[in-house]
Amino acid sequence: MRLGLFLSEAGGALGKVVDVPWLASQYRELAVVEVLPETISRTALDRVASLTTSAQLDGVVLAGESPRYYQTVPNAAELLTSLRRSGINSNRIGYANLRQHVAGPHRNSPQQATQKAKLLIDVALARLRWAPAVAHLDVAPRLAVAIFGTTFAGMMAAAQFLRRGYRVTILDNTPGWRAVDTPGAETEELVPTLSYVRDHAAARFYVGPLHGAYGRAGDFALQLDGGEILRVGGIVLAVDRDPTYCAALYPHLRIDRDKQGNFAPRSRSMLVLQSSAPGVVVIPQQRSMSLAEIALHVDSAVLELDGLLQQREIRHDLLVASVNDELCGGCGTCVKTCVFHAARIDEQRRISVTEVERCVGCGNCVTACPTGARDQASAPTMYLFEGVDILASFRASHQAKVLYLLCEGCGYPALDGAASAGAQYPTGILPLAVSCGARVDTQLILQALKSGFDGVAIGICDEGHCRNIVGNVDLARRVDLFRSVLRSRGIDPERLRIFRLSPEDSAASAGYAVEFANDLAEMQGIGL
Amino acid sequence: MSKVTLTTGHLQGCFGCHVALLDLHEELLPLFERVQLLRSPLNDVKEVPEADIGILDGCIANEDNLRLAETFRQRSNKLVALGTCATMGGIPGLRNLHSASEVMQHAYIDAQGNTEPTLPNGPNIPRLLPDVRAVGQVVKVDYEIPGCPPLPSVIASVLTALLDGREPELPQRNLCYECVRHHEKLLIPTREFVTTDVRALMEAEHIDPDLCFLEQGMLCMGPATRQGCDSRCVRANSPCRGCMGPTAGAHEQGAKMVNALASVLPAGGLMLLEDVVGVGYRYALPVSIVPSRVDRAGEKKR
Repeated sequence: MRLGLFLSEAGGALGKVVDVPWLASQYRELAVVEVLPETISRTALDRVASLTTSAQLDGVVLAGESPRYYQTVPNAAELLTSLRRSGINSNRIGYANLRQHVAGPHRNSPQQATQKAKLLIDVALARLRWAPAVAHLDVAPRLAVAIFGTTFAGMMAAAQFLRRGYRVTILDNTPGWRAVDTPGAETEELVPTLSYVRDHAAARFYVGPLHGAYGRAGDFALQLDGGEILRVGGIVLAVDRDPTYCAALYPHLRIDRDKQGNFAPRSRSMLVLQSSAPGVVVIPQQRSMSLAEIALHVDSAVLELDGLLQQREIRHDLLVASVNDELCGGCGTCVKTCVFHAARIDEQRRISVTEVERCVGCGNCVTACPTGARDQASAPTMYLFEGVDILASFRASHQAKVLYLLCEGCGYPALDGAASAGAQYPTGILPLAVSCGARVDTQLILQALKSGFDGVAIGICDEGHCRNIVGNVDLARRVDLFRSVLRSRGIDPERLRIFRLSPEDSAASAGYAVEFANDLAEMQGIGL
Repeated sequence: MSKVTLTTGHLQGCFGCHVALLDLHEELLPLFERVQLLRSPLNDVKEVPEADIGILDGCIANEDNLRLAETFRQRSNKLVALGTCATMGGIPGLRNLHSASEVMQHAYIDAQGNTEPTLPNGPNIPRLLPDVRAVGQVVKVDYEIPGCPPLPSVIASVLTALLDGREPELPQRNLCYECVRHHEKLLIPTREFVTTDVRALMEAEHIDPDLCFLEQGMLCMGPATRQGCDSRCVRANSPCRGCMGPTAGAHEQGAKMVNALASVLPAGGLMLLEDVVGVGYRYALPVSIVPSRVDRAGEKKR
């Protein structure tokens, strides 16, 4: 495999702590090693593209910024698009988060930080070697939207979509309009909009529960009363301050809620109303907003979704669970594990198959599978084992060595947030990203303890916040049984700890880990 | 046509795998028209000559086993590990929960019936190794036939393949695939435990002979166990205990079963907890991820 390493100095942040030239020199065996001051300028993008193409790379590691940088900073995502255009399969782009995992938290330990940086790059390279190229699905977007919440914002959004020629379904669990005390907004002002929507031929109102949802941006399926399946291209969440309704929708739409229990967009900006799921936009609670503010949010939401759905095709990488059809014996464990009903037993072949339309790639079935027949494309099991062994080789002096597994939904963003806020923590806390708490195989915990980690910490989403609905629940169930396995080997179960984290309360992600490392040092007699 | 030369050896185990070979009965005759048995406990020849195929049953538990395994490896063109002890450590592997000195102390000093408690010691007495290991953990093994014991027909099929110059192919899925029992709840794609009743086999008033054990609240290691035994135990109303070991995709059985039970039958997990090693690692402790206790008496804590 021809691999390339693009080492971003993150605008100078990296070089203050890490010996960048030394780091780059460690990878001479790769087809390409390039140090860049940043990865967002036109120059940087062109350089990466030309090197990738001329060296005919199969996979690329982006070392420097967090993977979330490329997901949340709009210009930064350009680099990923450019890499794909240069022929890199999207599952063969790896990340080493040197800014948030090394340069940020280890300002005063440059030597150890540099050693750690190398291990994080090694882990990312290991992932490229194990990760399969994934296929993609091109979806012609449906010009139909579902709007949840008969609020003013919902109606305004409905009107906008109807004017643009979309079919619109407005859904709510109670009949009538949701009353809003909008200062300065007279209901009369909105009557024209309400009438327009109510009387429009392409608009429909549904009052009732949502029984289920699956699919991807451009082609969602919503399960309504009477077995009806409503197919739409995009979803607008315009529910205003109704934690009960949000709680009822969450298990199907998978969108996380804020501390008050309401849907909230990922960013606080009025212009960016994406949720964690492509194709689903969230208009935040409107009660304290003026009519003008509501209108601004609605415009942003509509522009966002319309821009997405007006594309000829939306490309979806099929990061779904795979089944080794020579190992699967059809035991049905995956069938009972999957909350998305994406695993079933094929009657003829008597083995399990993945319903691609339903699978979100969380990895729960991969952990549950007792034969190891199932695997996760984004993080194959063999990669996770190798990653743990690589991190375990870290030479920690007079400190406990902790494997810090971090889930994509809460753990990873929380630790990023802590580093951004300047948190410092010991170098012996070694992070490894996982898609979800449900992806944490107890075999992996054993491997970590065997390879030399003093403890294993798992940072996951709090109750009711897992975007895979049951990831935290299933991890807890497994660990409850698993502690006895540790005891049977004479390993103190206190060497395993689960942290419930929230991206909003990021300090805890570092704080808990430091506390754990201190407790472990005492337990293991380190640093005495 | 000259016969293929064969040697067999016995390490630590119950010898049942050699008996399984003998259980081929009259089917041994065509086999031995093509094979010449040079050295074996069966013909009581002690010296190990060079041979085309060497078969070892039993695990590596003492110095003598180690020496014999190394000799067999050196003198056999192809080495076959026969049975669960040889491929995974087997029941003797449970000794890994204790240190060798603890075991000797218990057997020769503390246990009832020792009229003159003395630790055996002498130049001809092989010393116990600190850990019981599978043959493949010590020497390179070319073919593995798991099972406690393996089906005689499986042993014959592997030997016949080798004699024919083919690569033996053994089935790789879990027991559920060949199990005679059927699933009901396990086919329904909902997150519901297959039952909330959990019971030990002995507690059941009635055992449905056709329905999956797990669905009847009885712990069966089938899902985490490799197929290839014709589900003999399950047919006889006894849930699987995992003697074929894990499948090739799993790193071990115990943790994998814990992962699975959490979704299917968490209460069944409680039965596992009563005897974690005896249920989850009964046959394959030496090849599991953490193959022994880390805090055995008289050893440095790891």
